[in-house]
Amino acid sequence: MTLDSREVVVTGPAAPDTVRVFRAVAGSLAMRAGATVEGIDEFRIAVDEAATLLTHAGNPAALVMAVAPSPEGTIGVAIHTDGPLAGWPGDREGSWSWRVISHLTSQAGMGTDEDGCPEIRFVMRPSGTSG
Amino acid sequence: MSSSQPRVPDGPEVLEWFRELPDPAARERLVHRFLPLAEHLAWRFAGRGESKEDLQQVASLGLVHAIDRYDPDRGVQFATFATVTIVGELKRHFRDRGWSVRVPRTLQEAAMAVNRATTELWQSLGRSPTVEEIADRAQLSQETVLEALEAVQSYTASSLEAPVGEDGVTAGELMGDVDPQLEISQEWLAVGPALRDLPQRERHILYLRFFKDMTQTEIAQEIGISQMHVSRLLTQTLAKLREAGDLDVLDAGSG
Repeated sequence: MTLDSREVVVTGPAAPDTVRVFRAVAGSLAMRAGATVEGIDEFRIAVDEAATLLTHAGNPAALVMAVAPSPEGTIGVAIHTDGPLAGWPGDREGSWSWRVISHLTSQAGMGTDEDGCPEIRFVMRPSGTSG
Repeated sequence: MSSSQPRVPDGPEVLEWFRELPDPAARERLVHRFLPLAEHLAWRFAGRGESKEDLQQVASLGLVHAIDRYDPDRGVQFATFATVTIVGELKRHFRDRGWSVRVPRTLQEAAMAVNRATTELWQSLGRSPTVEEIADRAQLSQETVLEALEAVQSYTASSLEAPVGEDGVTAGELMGDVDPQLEISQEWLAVGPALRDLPQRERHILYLRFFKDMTQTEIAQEIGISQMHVSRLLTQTLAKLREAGDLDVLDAGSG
């Protein structure tokens, strides 16, 4: 994900409190992007699901979430761990969590970032409708 | 609520029992006599997210308080006094215990206002409203609306078996038959036991959202509950599944 001046980056220990902060930040940015209540709700669920999936993937010490609103009203998200994980298979696309994330967002993808850290990316659907 | 209060005449024996207090036998007779009134009032609060058993317990406690506090010399029928006391107890219960985590009173009130505004806007707009629209309608700041929406997720979801009407029909019964495809979906059958063990309504909502690609609004219309209620059930059910953590076998049997 390319950094720009609107990007918000949040870092915290890989723990439920951090996931809650991620949810709150995602919700706030979605609200500012004019998303519907349903859209905000599903965006927050996707963030929750992605962060939890990474947390359970191999006990990372910390999680990093980068959220980038675009002028078109979409919001890109990338959540990754603070370092490579030995247990990360790089492909969790058969998991329930992945089904949830991919149904609630668009352009969902999973892999590793340039530093080899497990990463989940997606873009919020502005309307909150599936499509 | 007062217009439909049950008519339970006290009768001369009731006054007599009060005069015999604190005799445990008299107290027992009073409880036994007015328990149907307490149960009736509890029933009136059903379908709001609390189990019938909990409501009956709260109403029974209200009845005991009413017996303790009633003064026959004031000339008010005990049934009237008990109704007010029991309803007060039930309302207090909803105010204090309907939330699964401690939510400040002001935020609870904001959440109620947001809930009302969302429902009204949903009906008038025919779609899920934005936070700005809700803030305008509810006369709250957008930040408060957002905070309230998050807080709403902490409200205890209705049990599937909670009656939603005075005729005792449960939410589960209102859902209609389960889509036959639900039973034959290999993907669905392959998921972990935590998903299969969910109550019928929660399972049905997950199926409609993640296998039938229906939106929350469409699900709400199909099941006959509000979009916010669907949202709450989805959030709470997904959180439950994340805690269970045994759902990594989604496509194990789909090949």
